[in-house]
This record gives sequence, structure tokens and C-alpha cells, in this order.
Amino acid sequence: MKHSFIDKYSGLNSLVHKLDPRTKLISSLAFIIAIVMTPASNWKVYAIYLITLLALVYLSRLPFSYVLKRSLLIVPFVFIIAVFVPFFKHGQEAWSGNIGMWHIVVTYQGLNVLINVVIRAWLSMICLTILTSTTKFTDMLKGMYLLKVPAVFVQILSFMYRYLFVLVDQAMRMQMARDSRNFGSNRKLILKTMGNIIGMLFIRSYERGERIYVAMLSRGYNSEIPVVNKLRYRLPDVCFASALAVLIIFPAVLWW
Amino acid sequence: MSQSEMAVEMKKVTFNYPDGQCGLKDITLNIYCGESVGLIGPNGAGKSTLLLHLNGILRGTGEIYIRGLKVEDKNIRKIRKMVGMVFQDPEDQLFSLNVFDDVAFGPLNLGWSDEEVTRKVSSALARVGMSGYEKRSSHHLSIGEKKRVAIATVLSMDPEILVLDEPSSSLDPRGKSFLISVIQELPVTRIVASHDLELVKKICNRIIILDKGSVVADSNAEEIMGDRSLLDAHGLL
Repeated sequence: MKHSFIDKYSGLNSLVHKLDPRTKLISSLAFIIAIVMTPASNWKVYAIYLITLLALVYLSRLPFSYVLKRSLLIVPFVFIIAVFVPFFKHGQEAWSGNIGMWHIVVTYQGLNVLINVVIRAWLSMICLTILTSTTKFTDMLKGMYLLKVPAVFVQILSFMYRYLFVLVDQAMRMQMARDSRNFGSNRKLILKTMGNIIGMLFIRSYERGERIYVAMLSRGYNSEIPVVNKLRYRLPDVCFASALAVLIIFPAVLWW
Repeated sequence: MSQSEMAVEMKKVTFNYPDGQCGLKDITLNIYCGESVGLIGPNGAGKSTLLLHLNGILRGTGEIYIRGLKVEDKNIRKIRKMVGMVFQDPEDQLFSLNVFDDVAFGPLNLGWSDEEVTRKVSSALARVGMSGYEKRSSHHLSIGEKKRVAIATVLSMDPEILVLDEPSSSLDPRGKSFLISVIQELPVTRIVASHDLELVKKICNRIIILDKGSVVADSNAEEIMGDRSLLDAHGLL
């Protein structure tokens, strides 16, 4: 069975795709730190950052609509977390009213915080979308490994990516098996079988984990997964990193 | 035969699973270098359990020697290099994100240099007819291809003894005959656990029947294959 991938557009060929994954990892991290550290309501800086990111999307030949869709995924989550801030932050009143026995006040300062949080999250998400769509997952893990990200994290990510689809396949097969024996039973029973399926998936994954571990031991595993290092920093990496550094730092110095 | 020509020597090996279920009962057997041994028996006979003893994953009572080296913690790295274990479900064996990483996993653990590893990977893949698949993701291979890559993952370590657990399970006829020809051409001692008699007949010159954790027959292939009542008695016909 086929599934769409996390790194769907990573097979494209562009300047950004060709960069060393380490360059992209470090640049993305630096960019996100800059975005998060930008003082609130510094709209010009946000605008420059957005333009930079859109330029990167253009350079990497990713479809704009895809990046937009992916990056907007984060907004609801951030919104749920930050939506109450306007009601609690003290400051100038923007709107007030009574709902039942409660008097509710929305402040400009609170709204400001909300907008800033959403913008920052969205910009960071665009940045990450570019990173994950221009880098093959395997290369990204290799980059992380070489950047000395703890081996445990890299291995967990690697196994997740490798076995996620195996797990999905298994779930789909179990669902088919259920559906072929299940004709219009009531909702309670459906929920119950669903619970059983989830439980079975857990047990199967656990057992698979054990078998994989045995297979690893059999080939001499001792807590580290070594990789063949074929990555090289090249001239484009240096140019890209320097250009991006200028674009990140310049607006910050100018309008901070 | 002398000790050095012995590939595997098991002396009174008994193993019980933690839940009390009997795995192996007092197994004593010798396998010589260059032999091709089929381990057959019904489901739950203890075939996989026995195989897992050969590289020290499971340890029962009794003694096991691989090429004269006792299976114990201080020899375990050498033993795991000598015994290449191919598991039944290639999905468990191929845990890396692409074929190259999987085949390179063993050699890298052995501490070989990058050039050496790359060379071993391409020669192992060539042997199983999978050259050029290095960059492919293991998940998207067909089951037959996965089986072959799984064999390559241990061939790349230059094992002296190749251990295969149900190599033909869920393969189509063509995939199976191709796999058989791949296995036949490997110049190593082979131990194949299966209940696929056709495969065993083609690959093995000696057959051991295992049932309920004990060796019930051990002889050359023609003799065992000719004894229909023996095969029938152990659920193999």
C-alpha cells in the first residue's frame, strides 16, 4: 500500500535541495531562534523574514500552495493555546461586554500578544516546512547524527519513519478484516472493536520491536548506529549560510 | 572429523521459555563446514529457538561451539560475525531507511573503514541480484526483493555460517526459485529452517527433523525425504 510521505518534495532538484543537510538544519534553527527572539510588533522585521522565506520557497521550487497548507497546520494549535490571552492581559480596553454574570474585557495588549504569537509560529512553521520538503529524511537524520544530536533521538526518528507505514498498513488490514465481518452493527460495538484494534496494534508493535532488536544484535549492534559519512560542506553551503545570516541579522540590527 | 572442521557443535542444549513452555530438549548435534543442513519440523517445534541459540541471542543450558569457539559473552562479537542470521520477516531485518544503510549496518558495527564497507555492500547486493538498489527505501521493495536484501545484510559481514529462518515464506513461485538459486550459489555452511520441503530438498544435503523441542531424525536428504511415514508422523506431509 502506498502512502504520501513526510518529505514529499525532497526529490526535487534545486539549489536548496542540493545543500548539505547540516547547513539546512543549522540555518533553520538559527532562523527560528531569530523569529522567536524578534521583539513583539516589529512588523518590518516580520515582513523581511516572510519575504526571505518566500524567496527560499521560490528558490527550492516547492509549490507555494503546498507550503502554505503545511505551514497553516500549526495555526489552530497555537490559536487554542493563545486564544485566551486577550481576555486576561491587562491594558487598554478594546471590547467589553457581559455574558451572563461575567464581565468580559478584551485588551489591545492581549490581542497584540495573540497576533505576535500566531505570526511567529507561522513563520517558524514555514521555515520547518522548507527544511523538511527540501531534505530527504535519511539525509536529515545523517545530518543530525553528524551534528552530534544524541543517537537515541536520531534512532527513534529513524525507526518512526521506517515503521510508521508498516504500522499504518497493519491497521488498514485489520480494519478491512473487521469491515468484512461487520455489517451494520451498532456504534457501541464498533467502538469496542476499534479499541481492540488499537490494543492489538500496540502489542504487535511491541513484539516487532523485540524482533528488530534481536535482528540488530545479530549483526553486532552495540547501542550505536554508525553511518558512512558521505556528506561534505561545499561552496554553495558557505554562500547560502552567509547570505541567510545577513538576511537574518540585518533587519534585526536595523529595527530591533 | 577434527574440531576445526566443525562449524556448529551443540552439547545437551536445553532451553525453556520464561513462561515454562518447552523450547529445546537435550539437543546434541554437530554440523560440519560446507554442509547444507535443513531443519524441518511442524510449527512450534523449536526451529527458530534453536537458530537463536547459534549466535547467543537465547542461551539455554548445555554448551554450543561455533568453529570451536564457545558461545559466551566474551566471544559474542566474533560469533555474531561468523553466524549470519536471516530472520523470517524481512520487515524486522530491514530496519534502516534505505537498502544501503541496512546492508552496511553489520560491517559498520564491525568497525570496517568506509571504503571497505561500501565495497562489501555492493558485492553483497550483487550476489543476491540487487545491485543498484542502494538508495531505495526498504519499505517499498517487493517481498521477494526484501528477502534478498535481508540475505545481503548478513552476506556483507562475510559470515562463515549462514542461518536462514523460513526463507521461502510468502514468496511467489518465481521469487522462491530465484531465492533458491541465490542460496545455492553461496559458498558457506548453510542452516535452513523451514517447512517448505521443496526448498529444503533443493538446498540441503542433510536434514534434521525437530519436533516438540527434540531431534527426532537426522540423516542425509534422500533418506529422510524418502521416508513418508516419518514425515507424516511429524506433520510435514
